[in-house]
Amino acid sequence: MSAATVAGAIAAHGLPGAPSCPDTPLDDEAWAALRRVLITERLVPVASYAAHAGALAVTEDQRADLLAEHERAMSLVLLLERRLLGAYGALRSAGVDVRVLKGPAVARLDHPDPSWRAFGDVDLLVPGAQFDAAGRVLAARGATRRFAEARPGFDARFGKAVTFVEDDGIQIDLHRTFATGAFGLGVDLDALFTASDVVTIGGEEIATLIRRHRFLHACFHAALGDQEPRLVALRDVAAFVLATDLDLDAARAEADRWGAGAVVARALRLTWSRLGLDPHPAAEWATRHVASRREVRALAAHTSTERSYASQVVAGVSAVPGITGKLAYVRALLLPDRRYLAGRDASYGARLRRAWAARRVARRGAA
Amino acid sequence: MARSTRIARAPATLWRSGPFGRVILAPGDAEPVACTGTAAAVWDALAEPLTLEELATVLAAVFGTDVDTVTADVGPLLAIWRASGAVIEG
Repeated sequence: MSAATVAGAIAAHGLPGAPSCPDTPLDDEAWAALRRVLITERLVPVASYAAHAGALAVTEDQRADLLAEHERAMSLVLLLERRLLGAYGALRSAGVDVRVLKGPAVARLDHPDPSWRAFGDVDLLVPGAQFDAAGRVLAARGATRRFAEARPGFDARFGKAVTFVEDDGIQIDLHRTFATGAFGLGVDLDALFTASDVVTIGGEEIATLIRRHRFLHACFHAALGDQEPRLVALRDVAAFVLATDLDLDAARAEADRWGAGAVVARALRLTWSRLGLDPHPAAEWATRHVASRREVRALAAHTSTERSYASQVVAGVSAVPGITGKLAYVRALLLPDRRYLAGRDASYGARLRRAWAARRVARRGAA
Repeated sequence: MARSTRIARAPATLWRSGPFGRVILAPGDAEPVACTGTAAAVWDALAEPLTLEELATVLAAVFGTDVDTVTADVGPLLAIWRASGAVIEG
């Protein structure tokens, strides 16, 4: 059994229909390979619980190794939560509406215990109208923006997220929406702020998305975030479906309204395939799902082997409302500020070549 | 600390508990601190606010020893935690 296969089984540990983990300890070489995967995929806590329950056979050395890594992962999340509280408080004091995304919220609200879920950065969602103000608040706290804006106003109107890095390397991702390009532009952002759940962190009540929106965000992250999604992202999707009271029909209906039914279907297919879970109506629906032509084109920008930020942005042109909006969007894509180019492409010529290549990818997706 | 003093986890303290033990990030600490053995048992017992006497009684039962011995043992730990803000009195 390869490290990837074992890691998939570990990712499903504790969920209904999960496959079995190895019942004899791995040899040193196989363990070293698995250990690397567990750390990269942020699965050390789940593996630790699997070993603790006797579901994953380990030697005493391997157990000690897992426990040490679990403690290390949890120490990091505490430091991240402290930073989250500081940023959240500063944003709220400045009158910015905020929702905490991913790790800190799902760890507490969608897992058996927060110590099952590791995470490596802080993700915050703010309304587009307050996006620039929120960025100024984080900058005033000493965080540095990683990449310059394509053109003034682009992030607040069209962008997915901006990464800020603090002095010690801790990263805060300030989100406007869930994804780059067409799918991100289709999300009903007002709905995300209409209702909220509350998670208590360090005695503070922190607003987060409601469960249905947390699930949809998990699907966006799993289906579109990385070409090879992290197993922890797939476990989140599975946990929502198998271990919470999520109203999956309502979630799928909302995804359809956003033009993102194919995103949910892809996330579910990836999850069931990679984690080796038993058949489930949600996975069967995902297998039968037929994406629209527009969804196929938009998905190609995220899933093609030639995927790039540019291809995702190009695929979003059709989703931008109005001629004026489309012109502003395309102008930012083709003629970005020099400071932005310095951080990404070397020249306008390179930018245009990448946009042309992105157009080809989008067309292939539609074919 | 008087035996009747009530002790509680400070709400601002961030912590995680799992098979590895406990890690605690108190308001006054720069880095998380790992707790094992007696320290982990004390942290677990403080899931609800307790007087020092109640805490010692609980731990004495867990470790099979007498209340006075436990009181003497946990005193220094609680002093450290009070100083860092991990626990509060009252």
